[in-house]
Amino acid sequence: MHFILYGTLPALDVFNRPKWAYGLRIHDACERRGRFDAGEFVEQFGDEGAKDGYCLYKVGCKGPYTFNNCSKQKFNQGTSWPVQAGHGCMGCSEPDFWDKMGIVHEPLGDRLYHTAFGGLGSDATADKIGVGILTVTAIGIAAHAAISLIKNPKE
Amino acid sequence: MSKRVIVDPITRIEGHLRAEVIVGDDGVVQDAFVSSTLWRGLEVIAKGRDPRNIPLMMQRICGVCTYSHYLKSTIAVEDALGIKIPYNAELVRTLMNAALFLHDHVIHFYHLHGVDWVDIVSALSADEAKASKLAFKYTNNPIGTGENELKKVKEKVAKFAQNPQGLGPFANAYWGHKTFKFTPEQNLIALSHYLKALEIQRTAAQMMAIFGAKQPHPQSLAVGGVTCVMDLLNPARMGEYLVKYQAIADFVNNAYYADIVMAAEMYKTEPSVMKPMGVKNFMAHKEFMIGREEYLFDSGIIMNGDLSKVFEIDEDKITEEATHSWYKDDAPQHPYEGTTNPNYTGFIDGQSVGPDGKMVDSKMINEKEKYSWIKSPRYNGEPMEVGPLASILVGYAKGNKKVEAVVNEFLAKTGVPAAALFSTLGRTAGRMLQAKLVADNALVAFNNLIENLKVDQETCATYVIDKDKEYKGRGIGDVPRGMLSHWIRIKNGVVENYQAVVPSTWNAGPMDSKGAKGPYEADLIGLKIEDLTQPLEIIRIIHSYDPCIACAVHVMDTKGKTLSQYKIDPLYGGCTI
Ligand code: SF4
Repeated sequence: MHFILYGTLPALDVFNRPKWAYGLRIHDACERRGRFDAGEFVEQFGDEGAKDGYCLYKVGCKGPYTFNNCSKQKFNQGTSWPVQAGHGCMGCSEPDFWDKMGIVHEPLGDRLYHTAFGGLGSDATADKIGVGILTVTAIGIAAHAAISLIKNPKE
Repeated sequence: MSKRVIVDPITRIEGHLRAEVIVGDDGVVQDAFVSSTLWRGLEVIAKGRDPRNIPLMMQRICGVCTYSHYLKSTIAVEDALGIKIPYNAELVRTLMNAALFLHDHVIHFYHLHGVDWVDIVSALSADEAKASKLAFKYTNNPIGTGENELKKVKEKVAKFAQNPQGLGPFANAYWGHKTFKFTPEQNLIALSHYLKALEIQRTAAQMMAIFGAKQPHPQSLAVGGVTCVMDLLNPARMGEYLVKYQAIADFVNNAYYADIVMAAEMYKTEPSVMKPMGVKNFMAHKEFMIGREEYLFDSGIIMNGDLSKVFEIDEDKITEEATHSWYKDDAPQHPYEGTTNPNYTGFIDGQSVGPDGKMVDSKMINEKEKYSWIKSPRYNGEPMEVGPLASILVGYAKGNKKVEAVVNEFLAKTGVPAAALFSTLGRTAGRMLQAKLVADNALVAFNNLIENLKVDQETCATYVIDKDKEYKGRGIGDVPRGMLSHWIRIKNGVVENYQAVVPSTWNAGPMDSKGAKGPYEADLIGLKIEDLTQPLEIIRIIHSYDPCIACAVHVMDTKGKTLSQYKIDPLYGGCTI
């Protein structure tokens, strides 16, 4: 498409994916990002937070680890996308996501983040500095989630 | 001398399928073998994984009815863990199911099966004024058949015809075949609906995405219920669903229904379409909860075409065997204990009818040994047909008022006797009637959901998985292609065993140890083929089942084995979405 439209090949990432689609993380353009930053998390599907569109990180969203444009482009001519439907991102465009993204409805950061970055997560292969920063981010995310629960207990 | 005709690949299906028939000098099929040439293997991959991840993985069995597998796999886990999901979640799952059935059946008839009935080239010589008038014979509110619209349709397709590659998406079919029965005007009406249905299927995909996040591969179920509570509490979202639903329901009632009435009128004397089917046992499972404990479709079994008796399903009597399938364990197994160990033996050398009618060297099915990646499921040792027709027949025989009404109305309108339901035409009509029932009744579920949300906003149940306990459960129900069941055993908190018994397995499976054939194979026997180089009759019968072979085969690691027997036609490549 890029070639037909513009006559040039698109810029690619390390997995040879076009950057215009895979350049940003789901998390970067997510409509619930404000909730994440405010520490407002869905604790359980269907709870009051879920009704209000809180962040899905604690019920398993892998948006922080996934490079794709679902949150910008959405699906079916813009009808919806998983986070809008209250279900976290499953990381389905990352290499070996079935094995590296842990349990779909549990957060990755508080228990298994090292496997995602240990060799095959896109962050790990991006570049060494990126790994450092993102690993710190992952720990930060987990800590952030944990702190918010203590600070702002919902139930 | 009898000759062998090989159709491979059968296009306009989901997946990879091969049919071989042996025909006598009179052109009548004496024997038939159907093989799936690709395998699946998700069952093997599922082992040892967290059960909560399995539904999302299982939905990737297929690229078409992904929601079917997602839903039944989720229900299997819920059944194993003893979870009762909230009423709201049941109804939302039904609304998503409605989107799936309407999407699937419309695509099937128009884009996969339609050109077995509609001669596109003939449509180009139609008189559009006459066709426009004729459309009123089949419905009071025709769609896409105004004179100007029909003119545009003709121009569009004529442009394709001038294309150096031929008819574009309509190239390579058996145009002008003797068993095409529509007049040029009727062909033009159906062709216009074919193009309109492309828009309708996009709308249906959006309808699924409203509560499902996306289509294919929706992502809004969780073990315990649904996640889309925000959409349910948003009136704008509910309104969007209704608008899309109404557009599709209108198409089903005034285009799809009308075209099948037209087909019944013109094809009811065509022997290859009216030939009684080979296996007259039918099995269907209840589906579509539209109110509390109220289902649109029923469970039951009909044996030997006898509509006076309906037997209840005993799930213990469901088995799969592999006498003629490329797996090691031949003997019948219940799905809870089912295995998936490959044993590929390939094809043998022989001769079959080539494109010019002469015999050519070919790789052939070895029917004395193993010849398909599909297993042979049996109920109480008997082959069963599953699918929309089975569901309609079971409902009809059980006296389901809604089903009875649409069946009787259809028979009265077309003048076709009830016995004719047991034919290729019946199967194609049954699918349309099921779409109509969904189109006419999904609103009941919608309204019940709104009522219930006023007093109860539960959408997802909580649960725990005890690692020290063993669980087993199944998700079973009717999906667009028929009865589907997923069977799971959980031990130490992970999947111990997993099996999916899918609709196309029931219909397309090879012979069993007693030599009894499944519905596809049995249906081809006795069929008269007009022209051995253009076996449209075979394709029409197989398509009438809506084969979904990606899910009918068991894949796995194909180490060291080349499967070069199939080729994928880029124009008609299996996937439709
Ligand atoms: S964690 Fe998921 S839901 Fe939350 S802001 Fe990031 S992408 Fe969105």
